[in-house]
Amino acid sequence: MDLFHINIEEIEGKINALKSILTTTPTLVYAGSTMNFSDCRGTCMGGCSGSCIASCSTTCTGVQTY
Amino acid sequence: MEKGAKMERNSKVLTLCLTEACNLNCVYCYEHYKQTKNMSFAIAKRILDQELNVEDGFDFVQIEYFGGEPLLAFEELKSIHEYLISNRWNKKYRVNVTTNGTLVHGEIKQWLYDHRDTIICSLSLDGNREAHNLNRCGSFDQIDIGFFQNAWPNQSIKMTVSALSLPYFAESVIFAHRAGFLVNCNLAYGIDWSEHANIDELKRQLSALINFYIDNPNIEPCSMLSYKIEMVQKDNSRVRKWCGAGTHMPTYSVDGKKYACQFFMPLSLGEEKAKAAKSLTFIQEIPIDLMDQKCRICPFVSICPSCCGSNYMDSGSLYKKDDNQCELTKIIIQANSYFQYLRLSNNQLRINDEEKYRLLNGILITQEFFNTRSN
Repeated sequence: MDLFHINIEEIEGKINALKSILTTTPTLVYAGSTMNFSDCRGTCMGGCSGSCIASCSTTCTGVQTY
Repeated sequence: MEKGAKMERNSKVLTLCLTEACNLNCVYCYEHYKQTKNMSFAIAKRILDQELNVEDGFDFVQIEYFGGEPLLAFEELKSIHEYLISNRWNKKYRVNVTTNGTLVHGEIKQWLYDHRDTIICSLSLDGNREAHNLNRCGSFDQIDIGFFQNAWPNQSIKMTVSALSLPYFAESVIFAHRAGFLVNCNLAYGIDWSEHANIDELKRQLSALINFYIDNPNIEPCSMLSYKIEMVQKDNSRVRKWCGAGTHMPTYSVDGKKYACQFFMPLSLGEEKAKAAKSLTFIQEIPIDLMDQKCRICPFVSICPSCCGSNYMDSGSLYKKDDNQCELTKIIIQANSYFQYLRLSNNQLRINDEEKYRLLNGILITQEFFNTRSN
């Protein structure tokens, strides 16, 4: 099943369009670096098969259950 | 307790296994050594006194009442919780109880409702009636789903997907959304995913879900379609451990012994293996050369939701991930890149240009990876 494919040139075109708007090239987020809430992977609750509610607590400050 | 509080940065998760007993026998359950023992009040008190007062660098504690099915130890749970909320502690805290929902009736239901400001109930619901019943012993009709939505309206349900329930996955998530829930979902760990048909089935299900979310942009996508694709990168020299096991997730068995997480308790591993696991070293930032060979060269290693407890249970290594689950995770990541590209193109993402740039870079790396694979 050939699903979920995107044309590479189309993505590159959007990236180049953004580059022409942005005054500086944004730093990419690297794993292992200190992450802010906005960088949090956010899927920790789905990733953990145990108590599942907030196990990624040092990297994810965004878990809101209530 | 802070109502509506988000997890704070210096937080730990304190898990109390209140009972080893469970009234269900779910198809993917990793607790293979259940007995009927409960945690006594005296043991729980000692743990709370220690963990909520100790100076360990954590200022917030997420307390988990866990099991087995913790509501089978309802009398103990009541005593422990009343002690907790009637005392002052050095640390802020929040309490969650993870339940299969089947016992939440009568007195238990009333008590939980009366205490809904100090305890959050997380419902494990594996989807619609068909899916849930396949995974969880036909227990769907024993659960008052509306009660959970009413008492904790912003709470997510916890949906575990097995190979049996996979064909119902999309309709299960949609069912949960229509019942008013957010959905946290994952593929079950530690089960046999080797059947090749699972790959095409997962693609079909994710495709149906993507169509649903594109048509309903105001519904927050389930966790399986909320991966942080902007974190995908070509250069991975270090990887953050996905979860808090062994570092900030102290877990206590019914007899008051401390473990890295619930996966490492004798309840899950058996006495001998749990004892051997005590000598394991858990580090938060993992040098890439400690990872499994296939992970070292994988651009998705930083967003891969690997469970070190499940890895250890299956392979004896914290870092060796099941090959079949690895393939399915890659499909999920490819689907996420496609979904987020569609959302971006349809102006359904409220992000600034810098965030768009990062996301598009992650999408590009993801798509290039799969293009190379198919050539």
